[in-house]
Amino acid sequence: MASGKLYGYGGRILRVDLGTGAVRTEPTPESLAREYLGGRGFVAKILWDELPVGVEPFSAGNKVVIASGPMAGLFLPGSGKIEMGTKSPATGLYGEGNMGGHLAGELKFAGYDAVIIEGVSPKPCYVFIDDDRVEVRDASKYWGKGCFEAEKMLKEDLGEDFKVATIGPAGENLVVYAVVSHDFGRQVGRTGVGAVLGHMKVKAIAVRGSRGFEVADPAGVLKKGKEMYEACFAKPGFDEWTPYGTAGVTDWVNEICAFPTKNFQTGYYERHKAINGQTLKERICILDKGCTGCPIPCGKYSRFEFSGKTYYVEGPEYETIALMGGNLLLENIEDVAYVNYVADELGLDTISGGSVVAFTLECLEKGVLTPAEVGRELRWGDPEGVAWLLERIARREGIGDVLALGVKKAAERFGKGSERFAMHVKGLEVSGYESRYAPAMMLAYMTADIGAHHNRAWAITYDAAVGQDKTEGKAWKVIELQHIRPLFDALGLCRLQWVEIGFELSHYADMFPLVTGWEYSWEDLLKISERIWNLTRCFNKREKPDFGRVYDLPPLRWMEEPLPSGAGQGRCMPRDKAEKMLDEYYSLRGWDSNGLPTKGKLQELGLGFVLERLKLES
Amino acid sequence: MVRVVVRVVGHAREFFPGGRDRFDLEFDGAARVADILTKLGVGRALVMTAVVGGRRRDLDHPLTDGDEVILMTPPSGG
Repeated sequence: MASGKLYGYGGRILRVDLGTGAVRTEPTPESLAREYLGGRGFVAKILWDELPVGVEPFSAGNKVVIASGPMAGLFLPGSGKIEMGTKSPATGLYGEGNMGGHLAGELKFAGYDAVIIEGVSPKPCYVFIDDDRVEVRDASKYWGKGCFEAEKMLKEDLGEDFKVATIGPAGENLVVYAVVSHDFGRQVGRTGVGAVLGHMKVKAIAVRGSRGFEVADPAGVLKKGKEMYEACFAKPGFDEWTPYGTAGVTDWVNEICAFPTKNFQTGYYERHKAINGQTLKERICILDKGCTGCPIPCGKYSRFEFSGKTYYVEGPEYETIALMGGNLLLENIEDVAYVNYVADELGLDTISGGSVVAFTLECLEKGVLTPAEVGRELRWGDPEGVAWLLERIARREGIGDVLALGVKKAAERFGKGSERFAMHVKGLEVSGYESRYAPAMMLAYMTADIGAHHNRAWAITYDAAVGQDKTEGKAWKVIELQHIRPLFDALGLCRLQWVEIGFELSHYADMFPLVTGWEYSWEDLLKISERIWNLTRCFNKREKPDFGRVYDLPPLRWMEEPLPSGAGQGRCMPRDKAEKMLDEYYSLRGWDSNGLPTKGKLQELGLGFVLERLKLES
Repeated sequence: MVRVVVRVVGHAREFFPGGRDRFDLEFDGAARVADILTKLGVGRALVMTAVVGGRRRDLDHPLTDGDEVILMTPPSGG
């Protein structure tokens, strides 16, 4: 194969300057591909290289990077993940999310590995990509529409074969947990990428690709892909997991006292069976919905009635069942599906949105806010009240204007002790695992680069395996998972085949050289993942000079309030124990006592260029 | 004698002996699904659901000679 030719890649990076309307492409650098792979790796490196230090998230200097990976868009299981990243308006730190659907492959079919969106458009626009034809087009007729409505309109206007991603009113109004939505139910949910696009006045991205891309060994990829699919079908869990998707874990999470309930006041919800995966399947799910190349479609497309109207929504999946179900004390699956639909159409992250609503309800309960200040009586378990508040937030009306900033900033504004139940780490709301009885999971939340998100290291089964009371000796597992799981995000792959049905990691290791022609071992790939991990840590240090240990502490509720009931009754994570977990974690990572990569670690990982910027000491 | 084939599903099989996903076990006399976990030295929290003969069963379900038992370890929530 020709030296310098990239196999498994579209081959180009597309740059769109919204201020001037200029569009240009540049070849994807081989060094970028070899050292950072793609997806999350491209996002991290491009943001490091190109964002001015200290750039305001809502400013013309911020950028949104959208990146596919070398194993996306191929004939192999889970080949459909795309990453989007920016400087997060929620945290002021590295921001990134991923989603499935069909955009990752389509972008590569059009010949692009990444799209860098820069500047601010003078008026609402969308980015139109049809192979080599790229335009910044007027989006005034779509502006103000919900995510689903806008996607439907664009597909009607452009053609069904376009893959479309949209923002909703929440993104247009700069809610810091606004999502980018795609395929009527998939979202880049965390860290507010949708809000940055809203600030840029980008309503949508529409992609169609017909060029295709080359792989190093086409016959080998086809043969190995077939083998991978057959191996998936043969897994005993294949038939058992697929009907329920991620919602199938709901009962188990309650049994181990880890289900967010009433703003994380407890870890067990008595009505969990009314909102679990089995109930979803029996009552409202009408079909399974999957992404490119997926044999275990996790999407559960539902039809349900609410207040005399029929609604359709993809979901609710586990995180929404947790943060908008148990966390708000909603009583049945239709109620959860309804608020899921409202959030999705508005373009709000159901995790952060659920947490913000729960925080507000507790503020009312504790007298931090009055109904007059909120604008309405709200109570736990009321889906219409939840929907009303989500609308206020998306439109930045009344109390919604402050709540649109997330629980950390809302608590700073409201005061009166509300910071004690603002459930976040680094400004990102905690996702679906109450962790006072799951120390490894808590450590995962504490140390994730973007804030409290589980996708970096789902460590809760390690707690179940070695003991939920144990706090020592768990850091190594969190670190191992923080290298494996984000590696999927760099490759453009979904990890659910591995996580849910035990699909062997060796399959991906065997496939990688067939696609790229590079003889990287799985350990080589994990080293790249570790490189990316350290780079995003340094990005955070660069953007916040005081960044370090204090940013890694858990929410005050987890440090100060023992669980009141359930299997984990009496457990919490006092600060000194949390700090001990961090000591172990930093030491294993080769970081200093403040949680910053040492000079030796950076050099080992090929990140010496970071040293000059940060002037780190060894 | 009760002989069963045990298949372990999900990435958490790494916490089962040898990280294996298949075990051929024998029990003298009557046994339940829970006895499989005891024999393998695995805590109950690591098994979300047991499937015996194609049907979901709880851990107290009695085993029959020749059963195939699928132990579903907890999947991730997304």
